[in-house]
Amino acid sequence: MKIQRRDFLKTIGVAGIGTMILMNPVVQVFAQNKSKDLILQDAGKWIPSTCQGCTTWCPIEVYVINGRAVKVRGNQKSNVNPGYVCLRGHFIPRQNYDPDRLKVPMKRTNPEKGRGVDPKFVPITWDEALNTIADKILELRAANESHKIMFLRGRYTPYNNNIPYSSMPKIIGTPNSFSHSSICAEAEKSGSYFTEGYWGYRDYDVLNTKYLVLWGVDPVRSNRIVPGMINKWGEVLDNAKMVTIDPVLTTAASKGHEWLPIVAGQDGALAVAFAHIILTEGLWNKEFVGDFKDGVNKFKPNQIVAEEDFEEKHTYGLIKWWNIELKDKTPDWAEPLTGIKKEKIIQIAREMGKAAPKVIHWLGPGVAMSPRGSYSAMAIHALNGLLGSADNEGGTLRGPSVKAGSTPAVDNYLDDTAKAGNSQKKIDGRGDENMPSMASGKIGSGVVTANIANNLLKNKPYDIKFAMGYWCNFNFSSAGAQRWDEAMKKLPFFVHCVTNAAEMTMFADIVLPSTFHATEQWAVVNSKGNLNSNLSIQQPLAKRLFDVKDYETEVTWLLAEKLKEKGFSKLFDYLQNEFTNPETGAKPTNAEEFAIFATMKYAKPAYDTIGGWDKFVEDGVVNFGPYKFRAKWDNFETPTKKFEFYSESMKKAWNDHATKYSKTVDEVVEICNYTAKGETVFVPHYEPPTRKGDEKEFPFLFIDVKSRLNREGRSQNVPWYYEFKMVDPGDEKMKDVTKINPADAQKLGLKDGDKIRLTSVQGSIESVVKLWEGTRPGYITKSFGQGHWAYGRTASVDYKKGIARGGNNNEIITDEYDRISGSTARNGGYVGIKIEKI
Amino acid sequence: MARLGMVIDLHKCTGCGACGIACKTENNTQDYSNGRYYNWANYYTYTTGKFPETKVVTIPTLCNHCSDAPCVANCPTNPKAMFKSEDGVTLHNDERCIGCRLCVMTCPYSEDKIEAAGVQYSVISYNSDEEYTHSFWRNKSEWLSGCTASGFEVSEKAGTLPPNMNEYTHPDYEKVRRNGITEKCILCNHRTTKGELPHCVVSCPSQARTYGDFDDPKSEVSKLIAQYPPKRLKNNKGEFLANGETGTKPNVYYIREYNAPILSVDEDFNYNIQNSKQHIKIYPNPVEYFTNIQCFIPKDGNYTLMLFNSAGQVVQTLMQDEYINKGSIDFKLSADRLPSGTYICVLKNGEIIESQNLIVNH
Repeated sequence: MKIQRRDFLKTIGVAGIGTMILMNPVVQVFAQNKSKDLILQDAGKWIPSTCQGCTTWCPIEVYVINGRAVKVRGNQKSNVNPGYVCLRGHFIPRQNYDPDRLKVPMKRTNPEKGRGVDPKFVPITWDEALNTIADKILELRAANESHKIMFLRGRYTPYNNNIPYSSMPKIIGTPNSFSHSSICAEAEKSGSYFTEGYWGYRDYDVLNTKYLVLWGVDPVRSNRIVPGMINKWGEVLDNAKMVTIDPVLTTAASKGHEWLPIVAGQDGALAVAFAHIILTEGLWNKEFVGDFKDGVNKFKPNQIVAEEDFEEKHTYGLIKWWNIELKDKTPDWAEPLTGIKKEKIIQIAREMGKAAPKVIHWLGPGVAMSPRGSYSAMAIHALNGLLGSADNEGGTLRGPSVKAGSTPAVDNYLDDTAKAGNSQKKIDGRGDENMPSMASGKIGSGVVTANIANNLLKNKPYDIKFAMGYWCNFNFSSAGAQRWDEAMKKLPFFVHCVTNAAEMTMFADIVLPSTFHATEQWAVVNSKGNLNSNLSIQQPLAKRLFDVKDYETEVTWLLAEKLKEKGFSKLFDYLQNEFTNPETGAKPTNAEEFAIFATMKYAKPAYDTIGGWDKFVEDGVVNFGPYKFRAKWDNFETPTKKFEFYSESMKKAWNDHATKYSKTVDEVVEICNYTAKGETVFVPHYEPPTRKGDEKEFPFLFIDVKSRLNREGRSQNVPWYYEFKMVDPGDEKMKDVTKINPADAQKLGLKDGDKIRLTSVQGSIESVVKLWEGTRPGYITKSFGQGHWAYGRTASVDYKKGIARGGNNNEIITDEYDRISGSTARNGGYVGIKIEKI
Repeated sequence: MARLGMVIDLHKCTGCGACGIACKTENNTQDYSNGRYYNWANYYTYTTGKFPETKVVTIPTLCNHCSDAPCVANCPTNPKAMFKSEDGVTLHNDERCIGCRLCVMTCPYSEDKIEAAGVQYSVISYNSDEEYTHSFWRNKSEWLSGCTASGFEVSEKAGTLPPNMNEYTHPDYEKVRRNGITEKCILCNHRTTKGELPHCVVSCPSQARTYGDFDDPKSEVSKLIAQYPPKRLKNNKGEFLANGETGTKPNVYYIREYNAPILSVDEDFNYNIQNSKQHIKIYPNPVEYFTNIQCFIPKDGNYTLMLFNSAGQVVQTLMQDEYINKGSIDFKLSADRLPSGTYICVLKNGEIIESQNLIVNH
């Protein structure tokens, strides 16, 4: 080349360029053309794995070149996603090569702990780390305080996790192993459990439906089956009417036919009003629900109906539901509560009645993860019963069951210390008088993740002396995040096993660098969607660049070895005896073998159906399905086997809870913050929303929405997160905006780009104003995701000073619960906010 | 000869962002740096309407591979660095590019620094000559000194820069472009030449993108624009070419609408409900032994007051079609023999019907 580029630019300068266009000079370049023939080498290979960037858990394939993860697609053999990933999957290579990942174990050298206190971490060997951990565990066991050991689980793989989360704590002797589940979406499950006996997430037959109602959920963004829903959206839109019920504008609302911008927390009111209209207008599904014996509809507003006049088919308690709850839940009643015009309520109810049974009421965390959210979930899911869409074509379903191995029993490996420790009360407060946490209808069976911080601070019921957590970051992800800073500061010893040092890590004494699940470790993961289920693999397809280990298998094994070395061999014996190679019977002899054998053990029932382990490693997925409809009719897992509008399982649960505390049901219900009395407690019903923060001081209500870019809280250290932030409705690239209705902004004298402080009774964060017509007046809304003060150079500003990039919604959302499910309430618009310009 | 391009079906697109990120993994484009973005597949987004009649709209964008491409016409080198391939793709030869940015300046869809220019995206990007590309991966700083890696260390250990580098060869462009030149979407020419589809097309979960030859009437893209009235972007400000306008003859067509049509409603909403909640007062409620039921009678007439259980059976009739004068009437109810549960008290005459729940709790 004759002319150097720099010289050329220098010569022409800025003014020169304008002239140049006019003159159109020609710059001769003599670049040598490479061969015209493309080199058609195929440098890489697609290797299957599973994405766990959200809860869909998509089977994927990663393009690998020389041990490097390069790009991602959906597993082409999966019937679930089907063959696609959403944008989150494409983050995998960058997350894998995040320069701020931990490369060595480390320990803190600064004993002082707190946000903005530099832990002064220094690298240590795996041996030193494991020695310290094993010593701590054995010290507490020797003092008969094994129950004062706590294990915490964040993102996990659904089978291998049982080893460190279930078996290891039992063998060591502690009841305290806690999952993140109840800060996620647990309250949703109350909807289907207390009506049809199913404690789980649903799937939906969207391609055959005629009417899709999305309650507090944007399925092209989050809450399960995301690529599958994106994939079908256009077709569903052609075949069905789509209605979104959400206080803020979503993509689904924008791309659907109707958006009902409901007053937050009033979803239950709208649901019972729909039910009222469906009954008074005779629109319920007769095939599923049954009919009046004389065929004459006796559902009239405020009129009581006699049970003997109605013959129910596959349901139970319809007349009681009507008499107790629905008779006066007219559209006139619902209009002022919901902010939806009664004509609109009637129109939508009639339309869904006409479309029945091909109607889906899809409920998400927006309606369920709120104070009293279990009853909203129940009221909404009951509509699927009323319209006959439960377990029916074009309706809601559960997903075919996945064949997988089970976790070997630990009974033979428990010594007396362990048994004594295991019999102690768990410290998360589940089953307390004010926290029944009745997962699957059983009192005290569900984890109350967010409450752990409170009880750590109170030493309730006793103090925890040692904790070990993996892939969890409650100081960021749990509502009332500041509580965790205090609790973790108080905890004497904390071991954190993570890919990236995060907020919670800043309180750790020892940190173990983790593998990245999608690319560096062995595991199996289940998923469902599209009427099918999958068991899919995770495998170490990318070369590990540093000495990182998989917590669930490798670290557990290495710790077991250490404990054995120091005289306690029960854990090691369990792992070695019970996790043999299912094909050869060989016992694992090292951490790598153990990881493979454990994974094989869980995968065997599935891979046996496709021709063995090697085939599974190659395919990466086993398909189960498609789903068989109506098998649950008259066989629901409820006490009556019917779809219950009068919930006998709810009745039993509350009676059990009341009996446990020698109180009446009404009394315990009130203690648990619900307002219903009498038999209303047992039916899907309206519960009024709550409010935290005085209306005068905190005049706005807060709506937290999930960013579609969130790989949980972990994608924020990838610059792409900010470059593409505008794919979240109303958001802007490079920013973390708070979206305010322009009318409200005008009253406050705020304009786009103004810096503001948001304050609730919980705390304050700083943000930037965005005027947006997608926010209901009186509310503000902001995406969850940013606000890390420690996650790496891109996600956070300065961990040593505790300075965040953006604001973490969990620092203004208060510590509140739906107490039936033990879930954290982060939705329902119950947090009052003060806005100040700064 | 051919005229290759793309059709994007906005009805199917959910604005999910997958094409944008997938493109980055395929084409090794660098991160944002000094006011410049390198996102060949990108988005124009906006919100329209006033609450509650509001919608968000996303238009996925990429190089339009225009038939009258000003970036080609104005490229000052000879042979041109920016040039049209035989099948109509606007390609870019890295070696010949001198980084003058005339392509950026003359392309109606491009700006060098988009935020400074007040636009959302640019289809052509300039790799600054002041730093090497992918400076993120050349940085040697450690976030936690001694415990975490650096961009440079990760790249070094992985063996490529960037460490997730996709590898391909093409006679005109490098898999990672050097500094001091421009770069843009080349419609994945390195893939299409091998018979593969552009990566954004295969990565789109909604299958909204179709690649093909508009000169071939039998191609899928030709069929789509015959089936649905197509539109093409006029600039990078979200405006489409008006009827009759050809602009630079862009070869990315958009069909259908991002937002669903409003369905017409043809309903009769007469729904007369007497629902004034002022006629029954029960206290105390819940009740253990005795409670008072007070009825406010709005006008003289015959009234019935009954107590039902939740199964709809009559438990007690307190008034049966009795003539009552306007005013209030009180009843004392003993709950002694009523099992715990919810009862419903109903007051009615020819005009009003009102119910209220009464809770018995022993």
